[in-house]
Amino acid sequence: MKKFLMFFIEPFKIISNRNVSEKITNYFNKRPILCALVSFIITLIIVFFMYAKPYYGW
Amino acid sequence: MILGQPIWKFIIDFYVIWILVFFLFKFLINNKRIFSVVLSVLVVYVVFYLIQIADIFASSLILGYIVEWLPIIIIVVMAPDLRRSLEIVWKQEKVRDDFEMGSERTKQHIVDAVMVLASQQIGALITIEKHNTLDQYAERAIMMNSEVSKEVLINIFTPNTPLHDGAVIIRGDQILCAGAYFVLSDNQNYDKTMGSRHRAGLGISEITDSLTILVSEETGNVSVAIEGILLKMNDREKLLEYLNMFMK
Repeated sequence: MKKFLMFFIEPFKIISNRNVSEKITNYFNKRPILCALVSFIITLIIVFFMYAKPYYGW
Repeated sequence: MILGQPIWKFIIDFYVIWILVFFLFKFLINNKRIFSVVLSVLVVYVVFYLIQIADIFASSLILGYIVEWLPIIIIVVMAPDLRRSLEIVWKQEKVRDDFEMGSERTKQHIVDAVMVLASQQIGALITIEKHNTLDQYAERAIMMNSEVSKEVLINIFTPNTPLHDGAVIIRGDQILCAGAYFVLSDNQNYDKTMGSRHRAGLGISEITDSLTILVSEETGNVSVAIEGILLKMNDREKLLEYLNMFMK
């Protein structure tokens, strides 16, 4: 029963123990230019969807 | 004209959205606790989206409630973190270009003071600033602007004196302030019994490029916290060598 339960719970545990958020925040905090670049790309995507989508009527 | 809009309007629009996105991104990145919550929320939203597509009744209903209330719950639960992250969202940007590391004399005085404090088992927390400014912590501490000397450092950390609890921040050849408080690290890789002084040293090393020297009150052990790593350094020569490498 324990093994059966672990099978479902273990993947979540592994993901949470990997400290993904910590790695990402440390990475970006050390590279401020990348922050600007990522926000630029996100802006491009937002602007694309806000302008192009209604214009072309997708 | 771009997609039916005048170019100047488009440029202003793009610029405003970019600034907003950049602000939000910095806000999230500045605090790993907020960032991890946001990642979890994103997972919940993705699961909700997939469940809605698959048209699964009960999960969709329950997740619908959760998704509806989640932003309010997060704001209430994370209020102190949100406030702190908002405060420092632009301040973190400050990187000193005109920085100057301490001289040979400063290094010697720091090492001498640390060794004396360690031999007497007096707890100490000394942070040496590099590129990333520590002004935001110094602002709330007791400003000193005095020359680094072994005697002053020992005096600051002498128990039952007003400044002994907190960190000393060293900028170049000067003691910028004493009694500074840092955000504690919540790194799970370290022992849960690790004291708040060591957690504070580790915390500041995770978010800035500073070096922190720690002296344990219980054992008199000397450690160095840098880039989120804690290194034990009881040897005087080793500590000096490390300082020489850091303060180039």
